[in-house]
Amino acid sequence: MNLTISKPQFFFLIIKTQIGIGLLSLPSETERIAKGDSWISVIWAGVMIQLLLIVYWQLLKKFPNHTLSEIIVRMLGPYVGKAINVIYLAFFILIASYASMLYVRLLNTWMLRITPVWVLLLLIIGTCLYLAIDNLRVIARFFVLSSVLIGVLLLISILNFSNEVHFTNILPIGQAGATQIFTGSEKTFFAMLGFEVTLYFFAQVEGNHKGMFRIMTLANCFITLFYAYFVFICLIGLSPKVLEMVSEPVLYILKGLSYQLFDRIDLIFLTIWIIPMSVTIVSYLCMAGKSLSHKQSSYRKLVWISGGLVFLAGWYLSTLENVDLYSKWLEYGYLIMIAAVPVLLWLGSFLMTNMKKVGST
Amino acid sequence: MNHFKTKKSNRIELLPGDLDQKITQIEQYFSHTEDLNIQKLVCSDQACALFYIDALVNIELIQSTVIKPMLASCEKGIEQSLTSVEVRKSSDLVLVGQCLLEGYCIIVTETDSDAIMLPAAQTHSRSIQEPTGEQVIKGPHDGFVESLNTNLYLLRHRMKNPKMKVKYFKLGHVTNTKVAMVYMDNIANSKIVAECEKRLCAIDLDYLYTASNLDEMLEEHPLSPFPQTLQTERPDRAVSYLMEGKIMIFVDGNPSVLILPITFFSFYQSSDDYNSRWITGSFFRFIRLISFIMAICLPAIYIATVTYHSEVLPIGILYSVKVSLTYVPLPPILEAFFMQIILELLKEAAIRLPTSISQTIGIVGGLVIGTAVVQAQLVSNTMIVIIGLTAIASFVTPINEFGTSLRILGFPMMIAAALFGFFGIAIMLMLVFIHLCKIEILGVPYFAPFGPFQGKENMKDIFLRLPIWAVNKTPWKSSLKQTVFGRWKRQ
Repeated sequence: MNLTISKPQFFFLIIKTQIGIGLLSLPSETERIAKGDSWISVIWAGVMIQLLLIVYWQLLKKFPNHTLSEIIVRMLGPYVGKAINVIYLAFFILIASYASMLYVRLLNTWMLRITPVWVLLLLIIGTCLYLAIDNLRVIARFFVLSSVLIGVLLLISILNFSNEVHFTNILPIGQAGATQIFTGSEKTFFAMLGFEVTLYFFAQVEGNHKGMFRIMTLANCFITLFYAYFVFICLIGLSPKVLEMVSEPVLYILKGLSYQLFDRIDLIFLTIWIIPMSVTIVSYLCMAGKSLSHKQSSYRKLVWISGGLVFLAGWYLSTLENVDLYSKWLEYGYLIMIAAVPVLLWLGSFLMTNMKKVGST
Repeated sequence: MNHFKTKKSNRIELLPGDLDQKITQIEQYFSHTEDLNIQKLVCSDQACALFYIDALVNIELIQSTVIKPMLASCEKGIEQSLTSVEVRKSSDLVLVGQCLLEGYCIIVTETDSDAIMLPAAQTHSRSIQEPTGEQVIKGPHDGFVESLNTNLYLLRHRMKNPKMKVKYFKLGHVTNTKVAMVYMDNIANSKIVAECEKRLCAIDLDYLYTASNLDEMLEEHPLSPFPQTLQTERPDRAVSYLMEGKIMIFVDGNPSVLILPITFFSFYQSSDDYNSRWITGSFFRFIRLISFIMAICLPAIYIATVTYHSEVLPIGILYSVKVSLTYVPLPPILEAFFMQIILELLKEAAIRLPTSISQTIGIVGGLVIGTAVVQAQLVSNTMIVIIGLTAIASFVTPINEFGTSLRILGFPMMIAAALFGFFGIAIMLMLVFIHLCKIEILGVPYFAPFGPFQGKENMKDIFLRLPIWAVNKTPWKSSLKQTVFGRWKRQ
């Protein structure tokens, strides 16, 4: 458990967790709210996340060798702490199952129309478990390796510029108004989830005293720009009406491209995208494991159990007709867990140090 | 079996006193074998007996260094009169027996309880030839042979450095095979060396015939499809690994040397890369790495495309592919399996036949089956092309063993493609690469320097073969610092 990872590995752990299924449908969701200013929403969401990261950093600086679950137990005592960690575990499992449900739905619409859901879920979660049960160093290795694909995806997305593009779609800038932009950034915020891995993996980064905030900021900047870029190409590639109607615009804009050797770039793009999507689930499984256990053997057991639960929950979710209500509850609940709780802990840490000082004098 | 294992620690004392008694004891110990030669002599008024095994010793050497001086200068005493380079003494019958089996000749006297042992071995080894499995166009053409001493000579001859260290082990309770571990004392990581030594000592085997036996005992992931030690018969290659701080293990009676800890990319390096100019070398290195993906993915991609995603092909290509598929009754997955198995059959058949017959196999297989199968419309033309390309791609790997594991990996890949299309391929590739990231050999990551990414210094000899002046002299030294031993459980 005490195996360390390097700072670049930490960077890739963060960005690979963030890039996932959310991005594919993000442009149309923000378009419905923020219109041509969606890209500003994305950047605004990045700013919000940056503020949250500052809090994370302040909190983690005080406990450089502790994961969030250990910090909670230390500050709130074993019983309350354990209880809160169980809630975290539940949220990680739910988020992972929600992501895998979306993943399976995507596969069902774009690739494998009649393959049963449980088969796909089994394959996805089985693969993720195979990676997640190993130690963080191995996980980080695979994350870094698979980051090569981000470059490939970016290259493919550049092909889009050979389509007809309309830069006028985003003009006039600021057309939607500030409130719409802010509401749009809320949607983006949920698509960009994954930066909370910082709270759990920070403790294992080698030499995590210096330069860590820079890594976190860099990762956030990269993700914000990456998301803004994809939203931007969708905005200029599709007309506003179409963009509101299609569900996965990132794939949709590539659909029309045709070359002498192959057609349907979207299928190739989606095939590659399968890997970032799966890797996100690995991260959540890993965090689920870390939320309650500190030893490798119990960690493995917990990851196995969470994998099973993710499978069952994912299967159940995919049978539901409408998951909007569920996703809303999940998202706001999760927001409390990753924003409100760390902020409170951070504020509490002042109290604690003060108390110590009082005690010592 | 246990009977052999306990024997190792036993010690049998030679019977004191009467010479005849000693002779019968030794004869009995060697189960009255008829190639054990016993010669009775009288030297300085003492009766003594000379033992040796016919096949293992050089008779002339015994005559000149043992019998002659003994008879000539009888008054000095036996030990003083011997002129051999090494004289050992022991009263332990087990040790005496072992020495006899290594080609020593033994002198037993009536008075002395110790037996005298003198080296007189003769070796018959194959002359040094180029290994047929790893030929190169340019560069040295010598190869390791079956004799351990000749192999060490080939190494020492290239590496004239006092830091090259050899350690001997005896493995196999029944076969007593000599094993040598060679490494550079100042380059190799001492932790890795210690761990390797520990594992070698822990090996509990009755017999050890080949280097592959040892490989199976040492490897940490027996379920992995990838070979975890590199076996080579080329001394130039071996020496270059020595410089990288790796450990090599020779097994007496085997021309191939085990090298560990090894990484994935070592299997894609060939001596030819270094014997040609760096641009040429880099080009072929690159081609080989592409062949890795081709060998495991190409049939799978084809199957997925024609079964699930034919919309990926533009209309022009789609026509020519679909036309060739029109009259084929089998689904693509069966076609591919069918052809793949025919190919493996042809390969297996051709390997052991003499060249004159194996040419016929080539004609029957390639021309007759290849064309007839298409004309009979059992298999489509495109499939033949795909399978052919895949086979060639898998033969490209410089180490044959690795190519075979690639072809085996191709089968689950094809099944996944037939069941789930591109999604199946992506998941399978993920599994393969996760597996590659997981393997560690003696604490060194197998997929280094990619997983984990280890900076540009180690990259210079992976995708490209940069000129020798641009490459760090001992690239592995830095990356070997962090070591964790966890997985090996073969005790």
